[in-house]
Amino acid sequence: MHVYLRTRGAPRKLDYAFLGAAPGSRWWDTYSELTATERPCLLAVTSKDRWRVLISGVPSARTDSVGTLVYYTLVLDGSPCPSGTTGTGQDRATVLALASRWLDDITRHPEGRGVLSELLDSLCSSAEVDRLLAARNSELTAERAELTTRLATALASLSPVPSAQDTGGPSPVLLAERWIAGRTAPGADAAFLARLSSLLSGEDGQAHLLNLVSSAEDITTLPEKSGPLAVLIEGGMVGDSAMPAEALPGLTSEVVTSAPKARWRAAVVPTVLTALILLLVGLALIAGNWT
Amino acid sequence: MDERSVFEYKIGLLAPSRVGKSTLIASLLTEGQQQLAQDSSVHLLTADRPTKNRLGATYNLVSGALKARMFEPGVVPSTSDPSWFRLLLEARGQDLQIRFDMLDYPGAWLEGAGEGTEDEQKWNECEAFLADSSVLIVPIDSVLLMDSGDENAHLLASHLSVFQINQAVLRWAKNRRELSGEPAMIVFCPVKCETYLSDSGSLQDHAGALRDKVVDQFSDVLKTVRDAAPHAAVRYLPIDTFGCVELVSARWIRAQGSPGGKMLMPKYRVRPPGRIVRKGLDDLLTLLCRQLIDTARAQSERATASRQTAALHSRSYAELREGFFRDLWLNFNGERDRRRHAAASDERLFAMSQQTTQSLFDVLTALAGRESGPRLHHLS
Ligand SMILES: Nc1nc2c(ncn2[C@@H]2O[C@H](COP(=O)(O)OP(=O)(O)OP(=O)(O)O)[C@@H](O)[C@H]2O)c(=O)[nH]1
Ligand SMILES: [Mg+2]
Repeated sequence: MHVYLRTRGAPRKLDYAFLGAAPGSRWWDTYSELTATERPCLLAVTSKDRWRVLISGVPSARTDSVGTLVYYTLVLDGSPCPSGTTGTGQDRATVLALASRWLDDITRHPEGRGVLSELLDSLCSSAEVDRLLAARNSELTAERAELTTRLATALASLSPVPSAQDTGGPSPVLLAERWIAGRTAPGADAAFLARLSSLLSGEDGQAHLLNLVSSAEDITTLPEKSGPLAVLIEGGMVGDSAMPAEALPGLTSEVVTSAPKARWRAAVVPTVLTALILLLVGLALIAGNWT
Repeated sequence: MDERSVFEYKIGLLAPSRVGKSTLIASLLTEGQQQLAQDSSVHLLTADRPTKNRLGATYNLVSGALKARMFEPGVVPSTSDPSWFRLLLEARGQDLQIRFDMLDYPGAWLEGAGEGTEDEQKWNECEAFLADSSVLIVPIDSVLLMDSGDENAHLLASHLSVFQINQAVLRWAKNRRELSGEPAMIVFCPVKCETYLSDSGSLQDHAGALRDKVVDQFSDVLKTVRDAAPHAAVRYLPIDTFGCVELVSARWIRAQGSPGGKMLMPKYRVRPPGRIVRKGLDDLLTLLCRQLIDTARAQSERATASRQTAALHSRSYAELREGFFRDLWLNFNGERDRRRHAAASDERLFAMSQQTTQSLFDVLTALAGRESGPRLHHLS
């Protein structure tokens, strides 16, 4: 598993950048219409035997040059391991604990200030952040590597939030392949974490906590990927965090695949018929000429 | 082909981090929907749900904080990933839409986005957008200009990123010159200027000093525009996005990684009752509307001219006499009708195009009637 940490420094020029190495791709840009990385959100995707997770909008206690609160973005990726196996199974546990803490932090504090904020702030002082961001990427490599190790160790020490005793049964919709629900809808967070767990075990699919989404209509721009989909509405500024769960329709591409064939048939039948008739008329004419 | 005219433009913002790009975009568009709702000629809509949601989010964030009176100058967090806003300007009562896109991006990318990284690639996309914009808006931090003190004057240009802005403006201006048939405009917009302008409730009036300082600090940029795109309109328009705040103090503090090893820290208080009083945005909107509609008009005139040629050509072809027998044959096999049909359709397109141009003229005339406020100045 790789972990990457992004934040900004106090001076105007020390804008958001990764403190250590940067992930190989800005894969989260695909979701920029659906979530603002400035505020609490979570993205998780598994495809082609690789999972990727982004947790962003984690508030820091540090402020920047005009007094704005600063936040963190955590990016993680790795190769899945089937459940039941050991070894990298630790990664799955770590990410699940991290995600459950994050959901819990957001529930307790509207800005999401909580366990994760504290953990990330304790890693790196304000001066150290500024120093790392002010240096070139090729400099301070030892410090950067050491920070990454500390980060990984700190994350591994997180324990998951004990799951609340279910009061009522969760909505059966949450057992569907594809669903959307408010973050605080009964059973939604547990269902979300269960989905995340299967992603981390290698099942293709997506699970997102989005903050620019208010209804199923908003996620029509979500990149179409096969596999299950779980969407939680963050609801801080847009949408209702208590929206009841709703099942989402299957992928349109799956429905559409038969359509081109039908259209093809529709075009071919009259053409063939016309050709046949012309052939017959031609034959009749020729026959007429000969007799 | 969609016969309805589509006009699409880009509006670029050019400013380093923490100046007020994100705030300006959100206020402009919120203000636009309110202002233009009262105007009879045009109105402004969000073109899609993501834009609507993103605007809603920023609006709630700012107005919430102001209501709670705990306006930390920094309610709007710094942008870490780019995003696009898509808007529609509609002429009322006419089948006419102008779409324009605005891009928000992390301001520090202007000064280099991690060489060889994915950020750099993304920034190249943003740069292309900026260079291709019909209008450039340059938000400027007024507190830096006005309250930095003489002893730090030498640090101003680098804190304002004048060099980087000049580079980007040069690229834009060269592009505009190649498209000299299209109007071009650049607007210098000092922001955070509530404290310096008397019309927003400040007791002092430093409007003249603010303008002089902008012209002084950005003289190279002004020259670039004049040299590379002399046809571009250059405007100056200070903007209050909150209006109800007042600078209490601005102190330089030590800061690693900042030019001169220090940075200017402003402190604000909220003027009761903490209601947003935006200033200058109505003028900016009128400027943008005029500019975009004028651009659309120019484009529509060109389209009209070429459709006229096409219509004339296909009509004369349709009526062409080709000799007695051939004309008989053309009538008999329906070719004559087909040609006349094509000519009629080209004539209809031409008429529609004429209509669009006329509508755009009408809207422009209506907008020209709007008076601009005292804040707006011409710099060219
Ligand atoms: N007083 C005052 N503060 C403002 C004004 N406009 C923006 N601000 C504050 O200035 C800070 C920066 O504003 P942003 O809109 O986030 O700046 P930005 O240019 O998008 O910055 P980056 O995202 O870092 O590139 C925020 O804390 C705003 O609250 C204004 O007109 N007056
Ligand atoms: Mg911004």
